[in-house]
Amino acid sequence: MKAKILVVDDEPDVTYTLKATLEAAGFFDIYPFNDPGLALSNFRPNMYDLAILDIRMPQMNGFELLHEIRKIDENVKVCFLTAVSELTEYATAIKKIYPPLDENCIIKKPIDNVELAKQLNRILNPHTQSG
Amino acid sequence: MVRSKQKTSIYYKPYHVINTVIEFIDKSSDRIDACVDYTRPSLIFEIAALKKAFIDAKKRGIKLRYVTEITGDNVSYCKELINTINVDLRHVDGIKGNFYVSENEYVAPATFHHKGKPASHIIYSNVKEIVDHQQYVFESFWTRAIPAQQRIKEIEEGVIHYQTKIVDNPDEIIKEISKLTADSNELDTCLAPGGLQYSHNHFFDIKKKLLDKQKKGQHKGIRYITNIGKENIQLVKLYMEQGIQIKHIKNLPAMSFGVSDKEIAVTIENMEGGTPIRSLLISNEPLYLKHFSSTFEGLWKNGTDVIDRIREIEKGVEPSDIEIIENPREAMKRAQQIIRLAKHEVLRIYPSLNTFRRHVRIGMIDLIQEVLKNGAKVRILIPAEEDQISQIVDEVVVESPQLEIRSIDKSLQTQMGVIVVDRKESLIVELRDDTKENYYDAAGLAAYSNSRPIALSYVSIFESLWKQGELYEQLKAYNIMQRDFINIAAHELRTPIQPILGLSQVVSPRVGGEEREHMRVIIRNAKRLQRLTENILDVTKIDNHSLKLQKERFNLIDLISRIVQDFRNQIDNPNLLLVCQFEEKQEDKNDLTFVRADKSRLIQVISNLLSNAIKFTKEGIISVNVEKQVKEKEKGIRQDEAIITVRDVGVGIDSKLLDRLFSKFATKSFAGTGLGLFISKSIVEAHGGRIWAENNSDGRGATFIFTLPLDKISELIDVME
Repeated sequence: MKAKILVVDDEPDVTYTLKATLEAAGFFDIYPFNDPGLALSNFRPNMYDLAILDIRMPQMNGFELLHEIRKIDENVKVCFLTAVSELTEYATAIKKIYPPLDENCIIKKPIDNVELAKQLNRILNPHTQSG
Repeated sequence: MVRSKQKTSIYYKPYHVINTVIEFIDKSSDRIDACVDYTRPSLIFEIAALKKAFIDAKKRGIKLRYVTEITGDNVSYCKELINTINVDLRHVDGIKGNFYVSENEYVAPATFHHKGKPASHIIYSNVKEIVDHQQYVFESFWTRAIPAQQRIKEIEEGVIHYQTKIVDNPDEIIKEISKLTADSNELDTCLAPGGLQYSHNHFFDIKKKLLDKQKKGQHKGIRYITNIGKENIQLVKLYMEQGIQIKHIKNLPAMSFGVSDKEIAVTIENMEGGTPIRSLLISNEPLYLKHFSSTFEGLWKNGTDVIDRIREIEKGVEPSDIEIIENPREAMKRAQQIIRLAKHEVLRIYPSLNTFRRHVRIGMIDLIQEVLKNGAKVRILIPAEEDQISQIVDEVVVESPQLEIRSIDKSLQTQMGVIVVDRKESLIVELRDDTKENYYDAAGLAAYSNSRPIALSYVSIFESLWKQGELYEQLKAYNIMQRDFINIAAHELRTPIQPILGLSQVVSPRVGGEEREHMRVIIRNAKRLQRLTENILDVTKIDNHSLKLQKERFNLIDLISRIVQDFRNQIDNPNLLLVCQFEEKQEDKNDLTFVRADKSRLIQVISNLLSNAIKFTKEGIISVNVEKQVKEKEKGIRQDEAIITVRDVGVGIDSKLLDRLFSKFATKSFAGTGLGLFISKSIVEAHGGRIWAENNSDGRGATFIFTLPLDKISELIDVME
């Protein structure tokens, strides 16, 4: 079964690219949103296996969105795909707020398709991966 | 003998007085002791009955003892008392009050009487307790009195009788000073500035007479020392015209004194505006004379000539003066004094934030408000953070456009507080111990100056610090702006690469032939753009000093093995071999190479060195090694470090490039940005390590070497294991 992935990024070109590249690999179903508010209002429990969130968005930033999403679905896996600079600082901060998230939850943009698919698999199936 | 009934009575009228005394003398059977003032000896010879009573008593064998003040006026009567009546006579200075005491009785003629006349009333008593008591009083005088012969000799030979006394009646004081002045053959006076007016009010006429005597050669002259200022300059000129010598002394002794060849007079009062003196010490003791006269000479020698001083005052030039104040209380007082008198401006540099707090506690804010009310401007510099200052300003300082407080960088914190008032006066106070709560314990020596050049040099220090504060603020704002820019630029540059790279990779396998080659070029350049973006952002961070390390503890050997493995997987050149030398050595324990470092940054450095090696080596072995080196950082302190080497067998480093290999844009490769090694160097140095490169001695290829300090905990674990 293909993993259902929510993608929220304010750049339509980015969501389009992610849908095109990740679905081409054949393992994922991508549900793209460019407006985090819209993504949130359509969000239901157990709807997705994974949410890929941009951090810097004009309407609502990725952390706020995560906070809201967690209220609806405690179990959905989350990672951030971002082009912001202070990644390590974010990682430390996120770890403090959401201890279950590990350092791999931040994926730096731009990223090679193969590498991205690899990282998403690692997040979706942490136990089947070695190391 | 039958004792008459005991009584104490007072008899009035001179007739009764004389009779009572005569009766008293006649009744005595053993002794008569008399204690009388200087007017009484003559009376015995002027009243015949009295004289007869004394002579009769002597004839009866009565012992007569007599204490009085022997003076030039009564000395002849005193001699007669001794010679005709054979009285045992002694002298006491300034004795007042009269009484006679015999073995059974006591009489005391009243003290208030005219010279040469009997008293108007008398006390009589035969009460034993009173008689005994008066006998004690008499004995006290008697033992302290000097023999009449000695005193008479002094008077006859003109020997001065030395005495020191305090006069506390303003009129008496004027009389004493007049006498001192008139009797003098030379006269030196050291006066508080206000004393000149007092002196002029009461003694100017006497002085004019002395000056006349001086012209005739009968007086040695009058000299004055005082602090000459605007307030007494007119009097000084008047005195000068009369022929009095005057000198100016800025710091006068704490007391005013006059010293003639015979006497001294001293007061500690300042006679401000000519106020009369209320207490004066007068003495003719030679030691005092000597002391005050040499004090005067010392001052006179250092005094400023009156002509020079008058010129200074009239030109408005205050002579410069530097004064060291040792007592912090005095320094504080002086600071408050000069600040309070500020007309235009007060500049103040605090040596520390604590000093400012201490000053607030002792009422500095009230003083500032007073100064502001007078229309002066106040500017204050405090070494502290901007927000600390604004907090303090909010707490304690009333807002006023005339008052500005700025922070200066803490690195500019000094041990000296500076106050400059009206660009004229300055006070520098040493900060001795900033940890003390109390101002007086924290402050040290102070130096006051009214020299304009000194004040101006402090003003220029103040102004440059003031400006520096401004620049510092601007710089901080600029840095924040730049960091924001980098963050936004990073985001904006990275985002468009994602669609290019991602979609090209999706399309690439679906097309063939020439189009596939086109896609390969697009992908390669998108990746190059990605690398360039990251490098430029890193360089900007380095230049901006905002490269931050997220340090964690990890095993360096594990990390390097992993990176090398990743590179092995990517190499598509079958003639290249990547070797980790440390993997072959059994004795190298992994836990010896723990470091505290930013993992992702180290990956960046090692990857950079490996990609370079791969880029410049067509075939052969690229070997990576990690060694441990024991290094003595300082005497006794060990700092072990890891030495990481990447050795290739490629073309080697162009000798022209070798010197600036690690600077920006140093590259011979057309595909490189020339930023990689610069970034690597910055990362290594930020970790406290070094990086360098050398061409291999066998002429084939180059070796890049960098060091990293090892984490000390690794050694501890080592020992425990």
